[in-house]
Amino acid sequence: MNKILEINNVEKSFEGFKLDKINFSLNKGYIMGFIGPNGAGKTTTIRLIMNLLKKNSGDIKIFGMDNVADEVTIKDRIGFVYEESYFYEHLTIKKMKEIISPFYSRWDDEKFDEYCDIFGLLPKKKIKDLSKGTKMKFSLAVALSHHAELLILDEPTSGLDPVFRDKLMDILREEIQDENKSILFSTHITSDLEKIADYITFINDGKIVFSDQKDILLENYKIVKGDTKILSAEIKNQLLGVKENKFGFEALCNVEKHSIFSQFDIVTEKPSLEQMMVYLSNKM
Amino acid sequence: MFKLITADMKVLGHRLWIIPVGLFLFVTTFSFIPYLNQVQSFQYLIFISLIPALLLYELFRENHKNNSEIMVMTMPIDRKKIVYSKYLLLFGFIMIGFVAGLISKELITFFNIGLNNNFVDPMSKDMLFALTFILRVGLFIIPIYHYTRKLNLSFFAGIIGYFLILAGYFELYYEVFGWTWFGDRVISHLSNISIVISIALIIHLVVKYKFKGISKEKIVNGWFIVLAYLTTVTLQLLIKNLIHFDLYLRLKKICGDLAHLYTAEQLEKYHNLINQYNEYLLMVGLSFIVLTLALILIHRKAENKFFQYAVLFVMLPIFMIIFGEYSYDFFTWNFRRFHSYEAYVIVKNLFSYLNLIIGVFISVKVSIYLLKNNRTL
Repeated sequence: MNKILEINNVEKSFEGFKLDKINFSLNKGYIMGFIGPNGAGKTTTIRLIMNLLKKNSGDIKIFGMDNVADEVTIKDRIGFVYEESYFYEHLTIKKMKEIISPFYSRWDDEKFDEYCDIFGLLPKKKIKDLSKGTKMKFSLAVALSHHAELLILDEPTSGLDPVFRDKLMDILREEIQDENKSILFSTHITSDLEKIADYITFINDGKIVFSDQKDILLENYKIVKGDTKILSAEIKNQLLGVKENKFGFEALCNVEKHSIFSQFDIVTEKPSLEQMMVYLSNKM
Repeated sequence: MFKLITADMKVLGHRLWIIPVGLFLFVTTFSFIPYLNQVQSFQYLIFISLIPALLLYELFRENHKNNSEIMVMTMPIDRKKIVYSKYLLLFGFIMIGFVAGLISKELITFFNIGLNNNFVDPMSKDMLFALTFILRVGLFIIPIYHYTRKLNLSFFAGIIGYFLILAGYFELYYEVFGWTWFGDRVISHLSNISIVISIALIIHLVVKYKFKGISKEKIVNGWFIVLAYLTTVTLQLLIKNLIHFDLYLRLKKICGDLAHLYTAEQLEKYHNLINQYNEYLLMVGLSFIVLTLALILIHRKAENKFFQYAVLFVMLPIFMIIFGEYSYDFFTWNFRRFHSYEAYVIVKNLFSYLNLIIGVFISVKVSIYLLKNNRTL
């Protein structure tokens, strides 16, 4: 079994929003970046994976097991970091850890203490007295302290300074060195993903736009810029997220369709993940 | 489950002892203050009931404050155990209240010198009843909370709803469940039932014409609840009348072999009672059958299981009362003739707590369903 996470035809409807036939998978030993604009369905997808929401249809398999039927077994092997802090605010870090640790069969006190040192967490400090970033650090320390095989991180770097974010990327890279662990990383800060992600899944308006290797994606798309005069209807149809202004246009273009510009004077650039996200969101 | 209970106790922290000790000191010292020691036993019982009530509220408040239930549900914990642990904790809080009450009672009666004192020494049995009252209300609060995720609303709705339903829409309940065969209340009972149906019909029309967005299923669910309520009413009326079947047999004997011992006037009265009994039993029996068939029909057409649990929950107080107070009447009326009084008292007490066991069972089942189906996360 190579796939650590499989999501097949998952649907979930709310009033005014629908997660429509979500399909993607994550192999063992890789990091997947899960990106999309606000309200695209990232957190909903993660909640469905963690069985915090009931899906309307489809199936989700983690470690080859159904995420609902084998919930307890699966969650013992998952390290989860939520976007917000749901800890008991009146408790200290030490007390909070004493509440959480007995539930994980492979909890490692030494590792937790080590991460507390690295992240600068004081055991006697109350959760309510921590800043947003420090609460996130505590959340990360907990997720990393029970030898989890799958780390699911929902916006883990929000509120963190660039120095710590860089340190965290190093820690995550180190975590998957043994090739038995995987990470699903949802974030807006795509520059973090460009450093460590192997795969990227982009979701927009409840639909998966693409899910592929990061390098292939970045190779397959280019940003094209040129004069608006060359923008015929036929050419516009081949482009994604076209932006026009009085100086010209810019858009994202699949390299396979690049030949349509052979007779025109245009400029091409390699896109960043962030730029891809912007253009693809505009397109929808 | 032990880990969950330990975790919740750690969450409560100091409150686990501050609340009981605080209320204990308040109650105990209050009764020693001259001219203020007019504490009647029911006030004392209310104070002691506050211990489990406040502890339960504080526990839910902490879980609710930062949505910490979400954190719990991302951990490797069986959802059933989350529910069980809450009910076990509630039971534990009740025991804390009971122990505090017992100690306080002993202290008060030991030091009490009986001057200007209206304090009535509350029996331990009364104390336990007051404390189990909190359990009964808790059986409503916990599922309502799992459904709404609104803390104060759940406690308010649970307490008020429990009182309203017990009081049976205030007096309607007692009227409907009251003595029917011997009395002349048949007409008033029928009118009360028709009031329930009329109110349901008015609500149906208002919902249908004013709130057009309401789905058909919700209207059907509403009628299911009304029919389920009426079904349990008819069931209770049946049980209530069957309890006195022996009286019916005696009346038949009077009108038969022993008729020569009674006046014509008396015999006419007894004949009327026998006819009333036959007609009433037939009417109630047929109503029960028709209502049950209607419920089965609606149940078959149900699109999802949620409303089945909702109906169970709404019927919770009815079942608790039917299977408690009246069940021991029905099942033990013969028992007390052939067994000792002591044995009868034991059986009677067992039955009086049977409703609690059934209530706990239904409440737990509903809570587990709601938690597993993530209705409001």
